[in-house]
Amino acid sequence: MKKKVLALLIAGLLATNFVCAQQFVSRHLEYLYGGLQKKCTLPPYSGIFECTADLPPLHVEYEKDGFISHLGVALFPETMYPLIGKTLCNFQERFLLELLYQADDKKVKKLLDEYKTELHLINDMDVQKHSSRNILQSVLFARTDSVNYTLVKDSLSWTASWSDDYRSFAFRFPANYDLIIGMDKKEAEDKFEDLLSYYSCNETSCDFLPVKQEDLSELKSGIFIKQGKQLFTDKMNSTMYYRKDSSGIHLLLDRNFPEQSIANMFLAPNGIKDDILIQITQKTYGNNSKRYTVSVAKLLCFLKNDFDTYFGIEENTSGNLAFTVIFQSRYYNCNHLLHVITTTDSIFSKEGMLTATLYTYIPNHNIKNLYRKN
Amino acid sequence: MKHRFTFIVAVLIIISCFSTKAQHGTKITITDIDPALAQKMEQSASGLLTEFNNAFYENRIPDLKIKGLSNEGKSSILSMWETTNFRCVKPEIIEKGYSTPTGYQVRNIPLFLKDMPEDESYKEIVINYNSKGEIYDIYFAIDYHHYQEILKSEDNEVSDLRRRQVILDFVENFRTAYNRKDITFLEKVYSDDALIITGKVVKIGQPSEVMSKNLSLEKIEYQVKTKTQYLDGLRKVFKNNTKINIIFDEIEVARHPRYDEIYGITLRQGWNTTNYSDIGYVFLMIDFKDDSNPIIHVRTWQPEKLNGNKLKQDEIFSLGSFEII
Repeated sequence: MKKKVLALLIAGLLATNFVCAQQFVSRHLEYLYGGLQKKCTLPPYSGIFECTADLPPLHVEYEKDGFISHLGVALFPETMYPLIGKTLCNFQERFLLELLYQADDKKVKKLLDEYKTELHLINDMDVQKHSSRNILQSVLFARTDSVNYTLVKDSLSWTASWSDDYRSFAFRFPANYDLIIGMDKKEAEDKFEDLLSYYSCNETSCDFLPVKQEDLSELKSGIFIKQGKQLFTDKMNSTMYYRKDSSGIHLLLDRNFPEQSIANMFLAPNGIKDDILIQITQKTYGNNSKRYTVSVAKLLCFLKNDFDTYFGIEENTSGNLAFTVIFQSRYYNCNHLLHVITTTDSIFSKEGMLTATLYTYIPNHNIKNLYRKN
Repeated sequence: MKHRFTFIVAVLIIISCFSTKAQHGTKITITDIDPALAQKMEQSASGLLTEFNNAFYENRIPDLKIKGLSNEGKSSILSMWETTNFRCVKPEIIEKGYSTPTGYQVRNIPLFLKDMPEDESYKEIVINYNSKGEIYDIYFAIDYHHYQEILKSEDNEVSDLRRRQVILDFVENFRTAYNRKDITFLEKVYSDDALIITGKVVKIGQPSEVMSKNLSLEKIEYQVKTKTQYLDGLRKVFKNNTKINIIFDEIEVARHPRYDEIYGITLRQGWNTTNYSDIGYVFLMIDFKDDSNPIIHVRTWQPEKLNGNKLKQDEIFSLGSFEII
C-alpha cells in the first residue's frame, strides 16, 4: 500500500514538474496554453491529441530543447507544409484554436476585431454569430478530406478558404509578421541568428538565371541593364548590370564599376563569391545588439526564397562605399535592412570582409505615408 | 551637446479677419469653439493683426497694449519683430479654432514679411491662446516646401529611406515594449521632460435644443502629464491587465523642416487589454540625433472619433502643432 502511495506521489510530482516546467518559444503560445491548460493536459511529445469533446483534435509541437513551438487545431497534414509553408499552416491552426476556446461570442468578436481578421463561416452564418459553436462546425468542415483548400495573398492580407460543392469556409487575415509567426519583435529578432546559422543552403552554381537580350537596355558602350523593381524610391531597386562581348552576355563584376558590381553581388543568384564574409551587428529590441560573422553568400541564400531584394548606393567616394540592402518579405510585409560600409578593396579582394548593421522584422504593413509633408 | 526642447502646444481654432478700422485693418472670425470665448479671442487677434499692419506701414515697433495679450505674448511678438517686420495680407480671415491641452490655437494666418527674398516673403503664423483666451505666443508655421527643397538638394534618397525604415523599427520596438509591459524600456525612451498629453472624450450637455433632442455633444478633454505621472499610471494598467495587445497602423513619418534629427510620427493605435479597448491617434515627436538611442519628447493621444465622426487630418496633432525653441 505504501509503495502504491509513493508511486502515485512520484507520478504526481513528475506531472506537476512537467506542467510547471513547460516552456514556450513565444509569450503568445504561453498565453494560449494558459487558456488550454484549464481544459486538458498536453502530451509530452509532438503530435496530434484529443483534448476535450468540444474541441477538434489538437496539434502540439516541441523543439529539440523541449520548448513548445506550436499549439493549434489539427488542420493540415504534413504533406501540405511544402505547398503552403509551415509557418502559415501553424498560424491558421493556432488562431482557430484561440477562437474556439473563447468564453463567449463577445470575446470571439473582440479577438477577430483586435487582429483585423474576418471569417466567413459555412452555411452563410451571420457575421454577428461568430460563436465558438459555429466556428467549430466550420473547423470540422475544414478537417474533412473532401474539401478543397486555397490560400491567396493580396498586398496586405491572406485569404484561406475551404470548400466543397455546397459549402465554403473562409478566413482572411492580415499579412503581419508578428501575427503569423506568433512572436513579437524581440522573440523573432532573438531567433534570427540561429535560423541563419543552422540554415542549410542547397544553392548550386546551376542557380543562374539566363538573361535575354530583349530584357536589356544599353547603359553605356558594352554595359547593359536589366531594369528591376523599385522600393519607395527609384534609387532603391533590383536592377542588374551586364557586360556584352563576343562570348555572350555576362553579369558585370568589375572593380571599375563598383556600384553596379556590388548591386549584382547582392541581387543575382551566385553573384558573390563564397569567401566574402560579413560581420553583422544586428540591432535588437531594447537598444541591444548581437555581433556575428557569416558569408554573404549564405545570408543571401537564407533569404532568397522568402524575400525580394533591393539595393541602393549611399556613398561612393575615393574607394569608400556605403550602401543599403532591403530584403522585403513576400509573405509577411516586413523588411530586413542591411547597411554596409566598406571599401572597393574589401569587395574585390580575396577573403574580403564587410561590416554591416542589420535591422530585422521592420513592419511595413501598417504605413500610411512614409514621407508625410508635416 | 544636449538639446533643450521647449514645446509650445499648438491648438486649432478658426479665425477670420474683417477690416476693422482704417485701411489696414484685419478682422478674424473664429469658429467651432465657445462663442463667448471666441469673441474675446477674435478681438485680441484682430487688434493684434491690425496693429501689425499699422506698425508695418508706419515703420515703427508695434504698440502691444492690446487687451487679451499676455506679457509672454508681447515678448514673443517683439522678438519676431526684431528679425523682420510683417503685416497680415488679408482684411478678413475665417479659421477654425482648436482646443489644446493648454488652451486654444488658430492657424493659417497669412503674413507678408518685409525685406525677405521673394520666395520667402509670405509665411503663415500660428496664434496660441491660454485657457482664458489670452494670446501667449505666436510663431511661424513650418515651411515644408522649403524643407523639401533642402531634402532634394542635400539628402541622399537611399540614406533618407534607410533612416525612415530605422524609425519604423524603433516604433515597432516601442509598440513591443507596451505589449511586454516593459517599463524599463519606456523609461529609457521618454525624455525626462517629455510633454505627454492624454485625452478623453467627455459628453457635454448643451441647453436648449440639444437637450430637447435628447442628444449630447462630445468634446476632448486634454490632460498634460509629466513622464513620472504617465509611467506611474501605466504601471497600474500593466498590473491590472494580464494581456496587453497594442496595434499600430496608418503610420505617417514626417521630418522636421528645421531640425533634421527630429521626426514626427502619427499613427492609429488600437489599445486592447483584458479589461478595456479603444482606438485613437498617437503623435510622437522623436529625436533621432543618436540613432541607437532615440528619445521621445512629445506623446499625444486623441480619440479616433468625436461625435461619431473621425477626426480630420488637421485636427490630429503633428509636428506643426509644436514649436521647438
